[in-house]
Amino acid sequence: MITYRRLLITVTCVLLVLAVPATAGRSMKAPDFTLANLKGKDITLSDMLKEGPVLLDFWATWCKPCVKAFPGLQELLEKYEERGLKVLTISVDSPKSQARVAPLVKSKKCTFEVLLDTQGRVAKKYHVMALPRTLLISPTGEIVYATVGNRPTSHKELEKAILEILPEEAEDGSGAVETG
Amino acid sequence: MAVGRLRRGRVRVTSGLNFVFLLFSILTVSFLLNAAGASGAEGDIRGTVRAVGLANSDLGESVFDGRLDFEAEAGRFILGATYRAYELTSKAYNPRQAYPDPLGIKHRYAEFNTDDLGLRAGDYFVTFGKGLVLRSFEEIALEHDTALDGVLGEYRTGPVELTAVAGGMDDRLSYTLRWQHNVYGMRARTSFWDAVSLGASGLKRFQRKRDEEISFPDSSSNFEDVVIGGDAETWLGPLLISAEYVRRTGDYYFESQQGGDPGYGTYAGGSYGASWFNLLAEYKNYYRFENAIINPPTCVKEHLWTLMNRVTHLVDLNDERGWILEGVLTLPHDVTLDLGASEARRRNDDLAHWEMFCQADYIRSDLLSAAIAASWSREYEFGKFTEHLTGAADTDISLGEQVLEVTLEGQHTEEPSGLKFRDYLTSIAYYPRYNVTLVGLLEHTTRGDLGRDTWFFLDLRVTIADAYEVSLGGGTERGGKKCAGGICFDEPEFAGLKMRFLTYF
Repeated sequence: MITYRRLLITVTCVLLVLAVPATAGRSMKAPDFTLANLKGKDITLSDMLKEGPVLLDFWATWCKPCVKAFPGLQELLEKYEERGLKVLTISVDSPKSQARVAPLVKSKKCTFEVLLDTQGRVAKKYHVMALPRTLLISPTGEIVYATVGNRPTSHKELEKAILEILPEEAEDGSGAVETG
Repeated sequence: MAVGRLRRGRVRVTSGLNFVFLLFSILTVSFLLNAAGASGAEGDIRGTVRAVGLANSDLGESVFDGRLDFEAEAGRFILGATYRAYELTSKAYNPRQAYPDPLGIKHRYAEFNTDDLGLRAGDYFVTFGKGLVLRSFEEIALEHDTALDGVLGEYRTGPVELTAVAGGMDDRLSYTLRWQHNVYGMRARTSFWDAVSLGASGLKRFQRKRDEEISFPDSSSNFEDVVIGGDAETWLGPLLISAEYVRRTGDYYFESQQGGDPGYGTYAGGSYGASWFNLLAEYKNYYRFENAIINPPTCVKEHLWTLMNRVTHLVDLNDERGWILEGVLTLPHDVTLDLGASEARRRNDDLAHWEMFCQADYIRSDLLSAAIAASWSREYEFGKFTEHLTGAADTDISLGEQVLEVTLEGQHTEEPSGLKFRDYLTSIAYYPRYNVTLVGLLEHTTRGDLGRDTWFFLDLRVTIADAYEVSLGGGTERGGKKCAGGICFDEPEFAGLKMRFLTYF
């Protein structure tokens, strides 16, 4: 009997959350942060957003799906960098495995910015419960797309979301972009 | 290193239905705030809800594990809390090894931040240097939580950062026994020339042993010590070098000893990155250094493969020195080759562990990726050793929009008693659409002295409206040691049904 009471609580919680779609569906404000990159230079999210949308990816060297997602992230960066997209990846490796971050990123030939969240504070701010956690932040600082895990089709879904917020490409083929 | 132990802060016992009530309250407040935000008001509420329901058919018991993390921000102020509802039908089935059954506010805090100053009261996580002096953190998957309850202050002036802490933490070892830890300390760090960082940390620690059923004399239950350390880091183009030395003086609570020899911890590491070759080297030397609120580098390979991860070397911070060397070669045709070796010895030069590892990866993001790996390791105890030889491979194959992931692992083990056995693991994940995953996990052992020799678990995971992650699974799971970030947790065997739910708001 007690077993069923516990299960009832579980089911009630799930139904309750599913019953409030307006809350989960709202666009959320991305908390601002400053973290050091692999060269010790401080990078601030709000400064990056001044240049365009930011694709934020939380990962760790010990997370296999995270590392598998790297080629997809790199591809998105190369494709949309000229149109203002920034890719910021945040390693949540503790000081214990932090030394592995730079060699791993270099070996995968990734050129996106890598920040170190050794205290885990930014991950806590973004309530990262599972890795990889990927968020797309609009230049106005709103989280417009978020996903957990790396499904093989993840970067295609991300690409759709990126295209929705990137400024239109100029038609003269000059590579110039229209803002606004 | 903690195996199968829970470290957590204070909890308040209340009714399980409070979780439902609190969840409803927070989501309602969030909804109202969102509505207010649309009309131009300042502020934000964000958080996550995670719920796991386990019905163990072997034992006829069940567990509900719910967790709500939320944070409310208004200008420079932040208020946050974590609510945990972990309910057991019987103390005999406590799969997370959580003491007591936590139900209520697990963490709560208030923050005030300006550009130069940060103040936090309540529960907080903090790391000094590489974690040799102090590291309080949480690994939810491993039920590891060393949140300090007290105050944290951080001040930045020019290139100098100052941090001050005062707080306490309960390290619960059973329903009745716990260690109470209290710390007071400071850290200063500066960086210059965009290439060098220097830090210094000091901490006074108090440890008290408490048991609800037993009284201990002061000489074996009250201890205090001091840890002082310095650390440095430098970036020279593709070369990164870091080092830390920490000395501990005073009582040694871990061996219930007042006074005695001082302890120390030394870490040095470096990495070099080139376009085709990357090298990582680390050295450690620890003596009489174990403490519940530190987490220094282990210099041991942290494996991504399940069977290799289960035999991760557990570092003895009271007597161990050793090194790890890893190289990654980038070869033509999208192939990378990872080679590594590690070794650990005791102070008397006896071998404690060694391992050799290699892995080849082939990644073509859209079409095919594959990896093949092998490791060979020995764990020594009293002059005898346990040997593990492991092979693993996985591949992802894309079939249009559908993707298939297959992982195969095999491990041969020889124990000092002469016992030899093999373990096998097969995992197949099928993605019929972008928001649906079906995972089957099959394990088999030839060990013969366990209740089962084959386990099979099937899990269906669905993402609904890009906002809710729901999974439902059933079958048997082997469990075993699970390690991450140097912390290990013994997950018990499971048979029955599992339901998981996760959402962000």
